[in-house]
Amino acid sequence: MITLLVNGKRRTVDADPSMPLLWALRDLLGLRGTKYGCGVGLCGSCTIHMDGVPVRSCLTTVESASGKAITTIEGLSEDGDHPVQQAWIEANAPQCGYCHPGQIMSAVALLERTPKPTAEEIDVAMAGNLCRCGSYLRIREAIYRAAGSEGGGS
Amino acid sequence: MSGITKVSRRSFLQTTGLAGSALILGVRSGRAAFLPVPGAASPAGVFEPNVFVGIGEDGVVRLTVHRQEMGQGARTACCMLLAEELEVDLDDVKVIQALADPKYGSQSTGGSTTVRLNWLPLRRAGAAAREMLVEAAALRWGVPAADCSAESGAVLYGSERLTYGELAAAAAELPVPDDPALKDMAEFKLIGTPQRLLDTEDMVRGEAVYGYDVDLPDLLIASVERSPVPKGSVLGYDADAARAVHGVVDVIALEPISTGLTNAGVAVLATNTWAAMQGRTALDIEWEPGPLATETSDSHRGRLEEIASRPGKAARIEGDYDAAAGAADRVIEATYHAPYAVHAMMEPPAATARVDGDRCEVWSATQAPQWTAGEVAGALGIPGENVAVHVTLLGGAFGRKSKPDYAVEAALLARKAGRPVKVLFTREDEIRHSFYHPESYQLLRATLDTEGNPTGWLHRSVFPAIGWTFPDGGAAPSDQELGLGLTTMPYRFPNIRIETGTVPSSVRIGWMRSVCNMFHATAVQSFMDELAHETGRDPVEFHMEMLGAPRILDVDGGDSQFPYDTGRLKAVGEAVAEMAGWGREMPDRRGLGFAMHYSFYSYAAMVADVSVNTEGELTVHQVDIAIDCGPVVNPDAIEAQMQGAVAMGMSLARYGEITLREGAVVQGNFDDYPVARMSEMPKINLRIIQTGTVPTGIGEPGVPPTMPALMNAIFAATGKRIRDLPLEGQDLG
Repeated sequence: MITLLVNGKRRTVDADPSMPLLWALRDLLGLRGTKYGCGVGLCGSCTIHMDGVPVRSCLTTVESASGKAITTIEGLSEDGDHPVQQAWIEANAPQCGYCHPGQIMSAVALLERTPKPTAEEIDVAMAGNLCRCGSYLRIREAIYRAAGSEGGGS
Repeated sequence: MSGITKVSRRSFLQTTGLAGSALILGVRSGRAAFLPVPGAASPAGVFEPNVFVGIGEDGVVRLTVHRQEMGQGARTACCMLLAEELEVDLDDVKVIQALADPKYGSQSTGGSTTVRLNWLPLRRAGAAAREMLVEAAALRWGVPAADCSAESGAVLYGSERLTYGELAAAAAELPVPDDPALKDMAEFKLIGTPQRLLDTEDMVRGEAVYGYDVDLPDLLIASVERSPVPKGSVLGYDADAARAVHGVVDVIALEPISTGLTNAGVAVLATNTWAAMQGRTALDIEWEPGPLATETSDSHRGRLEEIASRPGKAARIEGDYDAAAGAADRVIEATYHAPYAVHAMMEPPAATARVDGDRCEVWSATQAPQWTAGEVAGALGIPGENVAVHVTLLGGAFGRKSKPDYAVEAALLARKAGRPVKVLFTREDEIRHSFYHPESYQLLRATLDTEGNPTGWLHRSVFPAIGWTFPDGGAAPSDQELGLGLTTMPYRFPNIRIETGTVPSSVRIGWMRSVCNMFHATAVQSFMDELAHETGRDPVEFHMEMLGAPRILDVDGGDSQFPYDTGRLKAVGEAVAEMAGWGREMPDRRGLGFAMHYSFYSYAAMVADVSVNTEGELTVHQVDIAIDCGPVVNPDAIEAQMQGAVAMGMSLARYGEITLREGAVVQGNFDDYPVARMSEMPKINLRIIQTGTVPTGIGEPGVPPTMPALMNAIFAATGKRIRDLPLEGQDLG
């Protein structure tokens, strides 16, 4: 049994220590907001925060996550009212929406480090988050909105 | 490993029966209402004048959406059409995602058809309900119905007001009008206004339910190792090693089904995804690769080139091309090649099935619920009406999720396992076991007279057809495939010969966003650019001159309700040239490229502004787009679709290539099948031109012009003509 601290709550999972955190969150804890996209850290759909740092949960084992503070999209806010989530809604950012929990987690981490990012800083921070629908311009716009900045992608 | 902890509000509840249940995917307001609860939250409304509208005495207005949401805005658009005529506010409705059922008409969500084909039916459904509610109110008040009006879910007469809930029972007693009066377009309050997609809030909270996210009591997750080569078979595998993995419950071999949709494989079923994947790795399958194992990318390309080298089957003939060629002062020729490509939607295919005797219930991220029901019934040998198909949100699809292979696998496994089974494709599965966008090779020739005027057009297009995939489909391209940008060539060449060839493929062929339009637009629009430069003409002027006076082009075998009007194509071409400042001076190594294309009854034109530095690195600075897709339903969705089309077209032009070695697909993930990143996105300017009375496609028409616009811009910047895709690996410097 491995104990995880997820969204402020202590959770115990019966998992192989090498199980990626992604599958423990989704299958064992029912937190399916974190998405699978590639399984090898190439797409960013599974991005979560571990001790405040954005990590790919598909490459993070449950064992290595034990004892760390894990935040998933479900734990970002009580009612979807995190400023970044609100900015996302105002910008109508999602198309299919599947990659967006990961996009949001990366954006939140960026804005915590860099409250007023430049276009280049956004591109660098978001480079690991793929969106096949091509909603990138609105994601960038949402990040600007959340930062209270003028400008935007489109 | 049974300790699955559920967050109750997001959990599926057990359904009690197959009939009459519906999956509520989401509603616009009130998160508590977001419950993917089959059956439970869908009481019959007292007033259900048709299959799309239901109103209860509690006043709750339920709109049923029979098309699928994959990011293109179909759910939102369907609700807008219903709500506009019903006179309800979009914030006040509950949205129900329909199960597969022929009572809705076609539910197949592809070919950019949702708004075009439902523009009148859904508005009529809303209007019929409104007329009955107004009539019920008029009867109650004893006043003429014509003096009453409907607004925001209530009927008004002077200061009197009755809500739809108060009128529902009375309205249900009235006859349903056959031909309800529709609003004039000038009266629209909702249609034509920008609307956020209905599911946005759920998506940003991580609560939206996709195929991957379905959960049921006692569910097993299946990971399937499929034959790397189509039509291969299993010789042996180590089931014990797989079963030894903690969490693995069962190992089941899958035989291909007779309709050609599935290949042989071995499934590992486990209580969690990781265990299923680990067990699958332990299978150590020995394959008989079968007759297609000698196939390579070179053998495929060789066949295409060989077939394109000789005359093919005529697809459109006007005048006498051969005579024009005989009399020509000059013949210009070019060939264009584009590789196999795959969808790479962010959510790989996923479906869940539960089998109970001769009944089956499916939850699938599918574009084609009715086909899914039919294939599942066929594979299980049970009546079609015994299969209930619920549709989840689709995490992207682009045509791949029109094929119900993964739902068939889930159903077969669920029956054998005696438990509900969710089949999850990994990324590698998605890339290696797809129905691919076909490789294409095209030869184009134009004849010129002594004045340099074009006299003849020859276009020979060779690509494996979708029909090849199916036992009864035939190997020759269908008229429908040829109408996707080949026979619809709009330019006024006096002599035209358009041909196609029949070529087999060793991989399965499918639909991918805009389908054959991609490579046909690439060839036609690149070649037009080449001709302009060869004859010393400005490309945009040359296009406009060759279009000539507006006319109806009656060659595509399409729906005669939606004639191809070359005047509308010309209008978007002229608009985008003006937007982009076409003809302006460009810095060194920077250029503008123009392309336009008609597809899915919409007209799209683009100008790409690119630069290529001396190292050969391409930067796409800006793309201007003009589109005419008829009257606008949701301008916000049109903008999103055009941005997405540029991203996808750019990804395919730069990187998209599937290759074959020993019959198997080489690529497997985003490292060897890259897609565009945020940093690659250009600035995009869009102008929407509204013509006509019926909306046409938006999901696909933005893709085809993107590739040739980029390729023509690269030529303008560098003098290098791209005739082979993808760009990656080519020296642009």
